[in-house]
Parts: sequence; C-alpha cells; structure tokens
Amino acid sequence: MTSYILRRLAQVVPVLVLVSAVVFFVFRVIPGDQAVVRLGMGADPQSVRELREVLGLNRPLYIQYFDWLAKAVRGDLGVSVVNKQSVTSLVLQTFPATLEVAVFGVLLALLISVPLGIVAALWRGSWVDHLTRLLALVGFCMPRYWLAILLISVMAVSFGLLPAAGYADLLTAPGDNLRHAALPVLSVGLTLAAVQMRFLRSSMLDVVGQDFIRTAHAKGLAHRAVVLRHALKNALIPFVTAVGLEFGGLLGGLVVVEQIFAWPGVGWLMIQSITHRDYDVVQGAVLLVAIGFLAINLAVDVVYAYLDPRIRYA
Amino acid sequence: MSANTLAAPSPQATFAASTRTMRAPRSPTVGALLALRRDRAAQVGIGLCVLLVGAALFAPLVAPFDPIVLHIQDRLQNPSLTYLLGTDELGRDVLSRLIFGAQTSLAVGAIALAIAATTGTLLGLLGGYVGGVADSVIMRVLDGLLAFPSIILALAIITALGPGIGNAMLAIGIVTIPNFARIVRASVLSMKQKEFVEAARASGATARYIMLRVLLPNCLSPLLVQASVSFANAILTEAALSFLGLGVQPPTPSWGAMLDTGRKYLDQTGWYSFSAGAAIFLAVLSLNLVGDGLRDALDPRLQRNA
Repeated sequence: MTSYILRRLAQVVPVLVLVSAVVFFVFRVIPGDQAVVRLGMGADPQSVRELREVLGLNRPLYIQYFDWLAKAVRGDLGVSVVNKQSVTSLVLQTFPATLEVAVFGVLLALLISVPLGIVAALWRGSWVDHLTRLLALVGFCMPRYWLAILLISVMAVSFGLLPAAGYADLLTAPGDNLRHAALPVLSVGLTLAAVQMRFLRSSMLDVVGQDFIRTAHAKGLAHRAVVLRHALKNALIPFVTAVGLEFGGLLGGLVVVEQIFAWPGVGWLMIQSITHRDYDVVQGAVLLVAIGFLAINLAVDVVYAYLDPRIRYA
Repeated sequence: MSANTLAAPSPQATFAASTRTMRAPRSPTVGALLALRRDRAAQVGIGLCVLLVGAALFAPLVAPFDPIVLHIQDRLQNPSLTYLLGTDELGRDVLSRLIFGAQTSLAVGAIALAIAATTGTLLGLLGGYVGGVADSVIMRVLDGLLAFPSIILALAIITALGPGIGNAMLAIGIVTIPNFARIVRASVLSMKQKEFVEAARASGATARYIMLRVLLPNCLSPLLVQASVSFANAILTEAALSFLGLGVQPPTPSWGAMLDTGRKYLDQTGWYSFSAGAAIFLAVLSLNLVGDGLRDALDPRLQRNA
C-alpha cells in the first residue's frame, strides 16, 4: 500500500508543474500591459516603466514563470489590487464556505441516492425502478443553476420559508448559517443525487450479471441477501470513486450556485475578481482549486486501491 | 405428433428455409438503427432535437416577434395570447428570444464540439498508434487539462481572452478535448495489435492511412456517443458562462443570460427565468436521451439481432 501511495505521489508532481505552467501562461495571454492596467490609461510613461521593472514584466517569460513558481511554492501568489490583501489568504478564507456546501450537498445526495439506487436494483423493472429512473434522468439533465432559481422562486419568493441569498458565519451564528445554506445545499444535493443514482443502479446491474452472483443464487440465497450483501458491496467500490471525483469537481463546480446565492466561496471570489480585473486573485484561485482537485483525486485513488487490491498490484 | 411434421415439406418451403438460415448477417449500422427505432426514449430525444434544430434554422420564420425589438409598455408580462411566454424586462417577446437563443446555443455547442472532436480525435489517434514520446507528451498535456474542474479552466481561458461568443466556443472546445482524446486513444490501443491493422501494415499502408482510414472508422461508435453527451455539456457550460456575463454579450439572445436577468424579476414574473431554464433543460435532456439510445444501440452486447 505504501509503495502504491508513493508511486501515485510521484505521478502527481509532474502534473502539478504542468498545472502551474497552464495557469501561468493562460493568464499571460490577457491583452494589454499589466502595468498600464494597474496604473490606469492616463499613467505617465515613467511610472509605467518603473512598475514594469518592479513587476518583472520586462524580463523573459520563462524567467517570469520560474520566479512566479518559486514564490507560489512558498505560498506567495501576489496581492489583490482591490483590497491589497495577500491572494493566498483571500482564497483560503473562501474555501470553508465552498467546502460546507460541497460536504452537505454530497451527504444529502448520498442519503437520497443510496437507498433509491438499491431499491431500483432490487425491484428492477418495477414501477419503483421506472419512477427512480425518470427522476434520475430529470435531475441529471436539470441545470443546477436553474434548479437553484426554481428553489428561490418557490421557497423564498412565494412562501418566504428560507432566505434567497446571503451568508452567516458557521461558528458564530450556526443556525443562521444553516438557514442560508439550505437552498444552495438542496440545489447541489438534488442534482448530485440523480447522477449518483444513475451510477449506482448501473454498477449494481453490472455486478448482478457476473458469475459470483449466479453462484450466490445457485447456492440458495434469498434475492435480497444476494443484492445487499454480494452485489452492493462490489457495486460500492466504483461508486465511492465516482462520489469522490464529484466532490472534487464541486470545488470549482459551485461557481454559478455561489453566485446565485451570494455565497462567499471560491467560485464567488473568482467571479468578483474577474469583474474587478483583479487577475492575480483569479489566477491564485484557479491554481489553488486545481491543487485541491488533484489532492482529492489522489485521496480517492488511494481509497480505491485500499478497497480493491487489484488496483494496487496492477 | 402434430400435423406439421407429417406433411412432407414442399420444395419451395425447403428453399425458403435454407435462404433464411443463409441470409448474410445484418450490418452493425443497420442493427443499430433498428435498435434505435425500438427505443422510445431515444425517439423522444430525436424528436426534441429535430424541433430544436428546426427552431434554430428557421428562427426568423417561426418566431412571432423580432427578438430585439422593445415593447416597453408591455414589460415583464405573464404569458398571454399575444406573448405566449410573456415578455422580458424591456418588453421583448420571451418566446422569440428563446427561439433565437437556440441559434446561439447550438452554434456555440456545435463549434466547441468541432474543435474538441477534431483536436481530441487526432491527439488520441497519434498517441495511441504512434506511442512512445508522442504518446507521453500528449498524455501529460491531457493530464494538465484534466487537473482542473472544467468550468474553472473555461473561466480562466475566458478571463485571459475576454468575454464573448467566440472565446466561449474556444474555451469550451479546449476544455472538452480530453474527453475525445482519451476515448479514441483507448480504442486505438485495443485495436492496434488486431489482424486487420496488421494486414493493413503488411500491405504497405502508411501510418497516416492506417490512422485515418483503418482505425478511425472503428472508433466511430464511442465517438458518436461522446459527441452527443459533450454537446449537451457544451450547451450547459455556454449557458453558465453567459449566466455569469462572460459568454454571449447582449443584445444577442442567450438562454443563460436570460436566466440570469429573469431571476432578478422573480417577484414580478416567474415565467421569464422559468422558460429560459426549461429551454436549457429540454436541450440537454434531448441530447442525453439520444446519447443513451446510441450507447445502447451501438453496444454489440445489447444487440439482439446482430
């Protein structure tokens, strides 16, 4: 197991370097001289030249990259032009809000999808199966941002049950925080549940077609025991991976939901910074989201290898 | 004993029976088309797609109003006989804007798909067939693209290039490349050592000929399925980018931008944002139904009459 983890860690390093290069060079494409952008159009050439010197913009691009990378490794991703705060701390401050919605959203989705997925596979072809498949299809195709707006229009505008937008600190005002988190979590959880349900049902049906299930039936086990003890266990292995990857995807996938609910997570920060042309913050947020995404994918791989020894020795 | 077995079979019947057993196996394409015809869900999907493409192609003929003409006195109306889906905040007809919005969505989806499918397929063919250093380089680049949640990478590209419909197409296209490259590479790797590729090589075919004429046609089924799913995702991403104000710019009608504006007037009319969201939903639903149907129809394991 240790050697597997070490091998996977070694594979992550080149990807990280690549990610940093993508992030750096994509943001160098931004048209216009960054020194002029920062000082405004009417800035005098002398101060533009000085700022270019300070920012290192007059040096070769690859030197700028290594310079930026060396700083990034030490956690220095620059300073926000809007509020002069360090980019790293600005982005890290918004992570808990995103994580909260992601964690609760995934939990809610699991509460819905696992029982329904099992029921659908147990009574395959019954009306329960058809109904869950229909719901899953609708949820799967429903844009998450549309569901969010529908929820606001029903729960907040029509009935006034829950706040339409806003945020309260989880530690100092937990009740208020949860009330504000309810709609974002619902819109993430319900759409995710549909994806998970489809996945669980199809991986259950894959497993049910295999020889060892026939053996279990042949030795006289009840259908329920075969499904719950033999099929489910094996179907859960790919399912855990899929859920883990979805969770990683949510780190960035919440951009629009956060924007709709004015929920101050990473995605919200990115959009705010794009609007204010605060490019260092966007760049830092993209980099940190990618690193978080990679870390979660790595953790998922390790869990997968733990659950399924065939992976470790492949 | 039944009467059937007692009666001697007529010569015609024997001949008919023997031709029935000797009939050439049905081609996989025909089998797939027949399977698709039996799949009711896929037919609903195809029907919706035809409707959508029709609306986009004939938008000026179908739309009851000009999508950018203002009727300020009629702003934010609920559906009526004049305005079937109501009006927006400037009194423009929502239905007409949705119909013209279909043009935008389909155009962005189709061009993004073309960028992703051609680049991805070529990279997959090259990596899978040539192997070695080329494959390693291609795979690392794909790893680099896949290391981002796709909407984040699209946002980064849009930030760098600036908002707009062309840049949205490019961003969505780039983000979708790995989906195609990986599928093609995987099928090329599984076919590379097969006899028919061996035979092509032995008969002196060039690498280019083998990749494009021998391997590519055999990757088409997974590519087709991927294309329908990626098209749906492209429409979703375009709507999200326009929703955030980074995609299609006003006054061009776009479903995502309409959804965003509509939500600001939820307390006055819910229809505006509802119908924009429903349009996105139906487009995504139809493409996914077609994708699911194609997947089942093209899967040889599921073909009953192959």
